[in-house]
Amino acid sequence: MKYFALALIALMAVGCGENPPPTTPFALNVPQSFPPPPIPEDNPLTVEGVLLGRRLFYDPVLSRDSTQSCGSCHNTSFGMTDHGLRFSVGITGAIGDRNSMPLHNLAYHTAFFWDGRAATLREQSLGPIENPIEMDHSVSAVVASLNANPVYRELFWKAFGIKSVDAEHIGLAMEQFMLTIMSGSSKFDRFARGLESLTPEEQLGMQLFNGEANPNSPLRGADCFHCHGGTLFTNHKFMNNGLDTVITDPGLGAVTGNPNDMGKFKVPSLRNIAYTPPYMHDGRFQTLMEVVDFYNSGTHANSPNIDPSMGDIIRAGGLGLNLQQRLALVAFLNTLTDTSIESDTLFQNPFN
Amino acid sequence: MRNLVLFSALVAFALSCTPDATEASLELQVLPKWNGQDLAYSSMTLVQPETGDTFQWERSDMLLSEFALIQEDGSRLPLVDDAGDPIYAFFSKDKPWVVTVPKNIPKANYTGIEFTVGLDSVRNFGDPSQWKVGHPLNPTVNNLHWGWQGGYIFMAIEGFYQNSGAREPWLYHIATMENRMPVRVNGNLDLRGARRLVLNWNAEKLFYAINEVRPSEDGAFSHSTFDGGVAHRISENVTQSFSWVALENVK
Repeated sequence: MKYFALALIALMAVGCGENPPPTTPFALNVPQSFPPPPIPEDNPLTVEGVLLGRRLFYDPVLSRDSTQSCGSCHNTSFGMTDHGLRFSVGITGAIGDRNSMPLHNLAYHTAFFWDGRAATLREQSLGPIENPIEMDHSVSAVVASLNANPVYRELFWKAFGIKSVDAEHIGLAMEQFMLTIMSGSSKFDRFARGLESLTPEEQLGMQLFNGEANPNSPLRGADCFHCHGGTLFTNHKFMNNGLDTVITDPGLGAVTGNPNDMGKFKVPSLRNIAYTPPYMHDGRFQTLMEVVDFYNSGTHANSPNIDPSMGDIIRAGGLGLNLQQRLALVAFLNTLTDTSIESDTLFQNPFN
Repeated sequence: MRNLVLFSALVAFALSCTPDATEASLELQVLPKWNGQDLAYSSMTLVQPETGDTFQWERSDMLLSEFALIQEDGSRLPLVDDAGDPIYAFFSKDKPWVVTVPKNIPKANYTGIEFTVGLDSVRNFGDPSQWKVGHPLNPTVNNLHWGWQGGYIFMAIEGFYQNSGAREPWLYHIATMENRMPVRVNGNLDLRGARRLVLNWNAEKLFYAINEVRPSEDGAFSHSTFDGGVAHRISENVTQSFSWVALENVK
């Protein structure tokens, strides 16, 4: 009888607590021909979580002087990169040393930043807050600011059922938002679905893009597809593409400590590439033509840890494409532009 | 009396939970080797015993399908997963090479195992977006899909080799239906319980088995076309590169 009474009291106590409100599953718009995206099982997308994540993404409260948000360096009009800048400028005026990365189709990625130092988006999203050359703040201070804000407390309650904002859930919310930025509505996609035609120049560019740089092949291609192939136009690997004879930025090597990883960087997707100059991890090339010219005649065979897949190109001293072919390749790359990132209201700054 | 009824009910429930005693499970474990030693990556220390060529290994990715056991009458017993679907596997450098067959194999003696490095034409040219998250044929899992034109690379191996003292890259991407690689490994496969079959993948045999392949003479690069046949010669060697190590009981 005594235990029954205790159980009843416990049940009443639980019943008197405020239950978290139900969340609404977020219907992710996965482009046709894309594989199912691996959404983290411990962070299912909800409307409440995604909208909270978007608000955090665009809120300058994440920076020490409240002047910069994630959106400051990842602008929708530039394919979620930084306004064509080679390096972003932090709140103190400090200049970064890597080019701002585009943010789309991140659900398929398994490592983040150019050097892969974050394994998850939730981890990645907190990095810039504490980076002294970016937001120069502390996550604990951001947590305190958000807890002092009744609007945020309410939003976190609705999204995650927590009364007190914490760093973990800031990361989870921003992860949810960034997972929703899907991009698969380019001219190329419409062509692949039979809805639009490519120009003869674009078709030649596509042929070159998907052709091997094999000297024995009757139509020698540019071999782009080996590293930038598939629906997502990336192989998600870390590679050294022969930019330098002397490695000045260790890239992945600084993260793993493995000498064989020195000079390797994340292979970026070529989707929306026309939106995101300048190019390479350090933004050294201003235009796509400069990039093509690099592969055509500028690769360094003696670059440490150069990827074996560059072998055909290097053996031949470059791609050896003529001007018409190089222009065609650029024309094809321009078909990978998806303007919906710029126009989709879901991705826009909610404070505007 | 009430206790007896309760006890009987418990026994009946326990018996109903006992797995079907007529079926066995199998775990296939493949160990990447070079001359009998664990395959060491990123080190220019791998000497091919027959040709004397020295290699550095960087990548070994492969897709496997058409797993089957050979029954004593010589017929094939295709292996399937829990849903009764064919089993596929993706082997890569950084993960254990393990294929698990659930407890659905008729208990018996088998004389060997077969599988194919590669895919049939339906899977090879099918829509790659059909495969669920984490499936070996999901292109984001294996990164072996050629792209929108269709088709997978069945095996991608890459590295460097010593060519007259110089360190030069080699790369062989084995693809196209002509280069499917059927593998058969014979042995006494007593499957009357949970078992683990351990095989070696002897990477040195890719350069000397049915065919001798020397990057400096036969070509160091191939994407399986316009390569003078080197990819096909390697694919034939792959069929001879797996060997029996042990059949172990699994508790």
